Amino acid sequence: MDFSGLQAFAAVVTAIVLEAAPFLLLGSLAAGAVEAWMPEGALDRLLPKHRAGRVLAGLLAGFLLPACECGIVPLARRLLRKGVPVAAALPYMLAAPVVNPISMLATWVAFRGDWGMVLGRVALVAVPAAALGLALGDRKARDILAPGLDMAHDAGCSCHAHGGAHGGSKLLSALRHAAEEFLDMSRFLVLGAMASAIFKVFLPQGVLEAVAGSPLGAVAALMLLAVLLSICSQADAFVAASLTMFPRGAQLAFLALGPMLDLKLIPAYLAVFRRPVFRALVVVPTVLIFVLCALLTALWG
Amino acid sequence: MPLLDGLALLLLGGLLAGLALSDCYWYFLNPRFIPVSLVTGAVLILLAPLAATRAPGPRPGGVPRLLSLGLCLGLAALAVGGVSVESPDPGSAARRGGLDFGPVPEGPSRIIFKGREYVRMNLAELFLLADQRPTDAPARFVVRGVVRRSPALDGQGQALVSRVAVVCCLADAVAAGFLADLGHTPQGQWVEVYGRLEPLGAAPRSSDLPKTPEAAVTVCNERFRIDAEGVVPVSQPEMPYIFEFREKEPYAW
Repeated sequence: MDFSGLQAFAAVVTAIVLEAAPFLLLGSLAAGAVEAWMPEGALDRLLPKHRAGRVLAGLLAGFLLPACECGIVPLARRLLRKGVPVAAALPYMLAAPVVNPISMLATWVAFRGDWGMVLGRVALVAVPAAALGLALGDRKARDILAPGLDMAHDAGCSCHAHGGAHGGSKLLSALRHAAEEFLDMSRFLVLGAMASAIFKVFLPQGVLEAVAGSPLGAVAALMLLAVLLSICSQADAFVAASLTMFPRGAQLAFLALGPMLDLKLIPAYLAVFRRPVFRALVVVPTVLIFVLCALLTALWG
Repeated sequence: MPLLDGLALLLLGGLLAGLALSDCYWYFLNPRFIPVSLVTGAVLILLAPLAATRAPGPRPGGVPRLLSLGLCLGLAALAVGGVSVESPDPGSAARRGGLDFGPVPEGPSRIIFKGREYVRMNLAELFLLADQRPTDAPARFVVRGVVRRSPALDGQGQALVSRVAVVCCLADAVAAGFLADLGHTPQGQWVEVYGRLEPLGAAPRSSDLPKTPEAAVTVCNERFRIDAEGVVPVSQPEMPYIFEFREKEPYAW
């Protein structure tokens, strides 16, 4: 089975889209359901009133509503538009791909029952997610969402008052929103898959090793790899576990950053959030995870 | 535009469902996800009429999203075409049928070769055992893999025997293998290697390892090499990737 470069590229793009499509669809269906059935402000009334409590609720919401990063952005955006406070929605968006039972189980299996890796991953994701939730928690949704793009609702949808003018049922309204959401987010998925496939197919073997000679280099190299490879948060632990030439701290950096920042997420963040928030979503997880994992690597290897 | 949106969803749903029912699904995703792809494809097909009948009107990003989905479908056609051309044994692939949920263990877990008993296992299982619990690895084993060579390894009289392991999809594929003295077996030849683990003196640099086109990462076990007691050229297995990993006998093969 000999691959040409172009065929390998096409195969990897197809594989990523096939793998991510079910999760993107689930996220879109959930977003459609939120749009159709959740009254505005309903979740806000259930959440704690203090910002810290909201952040904590957002961090743990993945246990109730697990999602991988492929479908989390449209869902988070829809929750924000429905009045879920930024202090809860942002931590949920960043943490849910990791802080959920499926992803934690996958990490546990990949690292042969090593709870240190599971809890370390959760903690490393929770820190930047909480930091952003606390820092931006006083903003309104309109302050952080990009004004230009409303994927399903404002742009041509005529389901007045969300009640389902099309066909008269909320179910139909939810499904229409889901279809629109899926179509809109799929272009970012395809874009990210293509960028990731370029690196996968054409990155020379040994490039990472060249920058991984030091503990700091190893952490940086695996963080870069996590962004470039854009592996689903439920499968990335198995890749990390195979990178045995890297220290555990660097493997944790790979596991923590990828679900919050990769080539599938970057175009989606760029389209959905205002530029300052986009920059924060890129910079804060990157810097915090690098510093924490560099410390871990220096202390424990 | 709504009609094109509906068509895009229909084609994407058809691609997912069609691949799930085809013989080349394993080329992209672990076969255990066939039901998931099938359901996703069906739901997208059901959503297509809703997208096609939405209220008409201008839509931000409408053209780019159609272009990107069209590009995606074109790339999928190219990739699927590549599988059809390159499939080593289309007959055997067809015999597997569409709704096959994973590799079927073949034959006994131990075989006799030149008077000695060997445990059959796959390279990923051996890699994990050697890395984490080497004392649990069988004394003698036989693994299947493809021979990969590089000038640096040739200079040491070694080659890499490796096989691509996939957890979810081709995107997470890792080519895992061991160094061994494989004689003059040519690059790209599938082999069965009968042997034992022996400590590896110095691990090769990753830049010295040959790149595997299907996998982003090629890893060579850094603690052990295979002391090859027999190297038998074989044809490419019906399922060249590894999708199943077991921790004890009977191992996947």
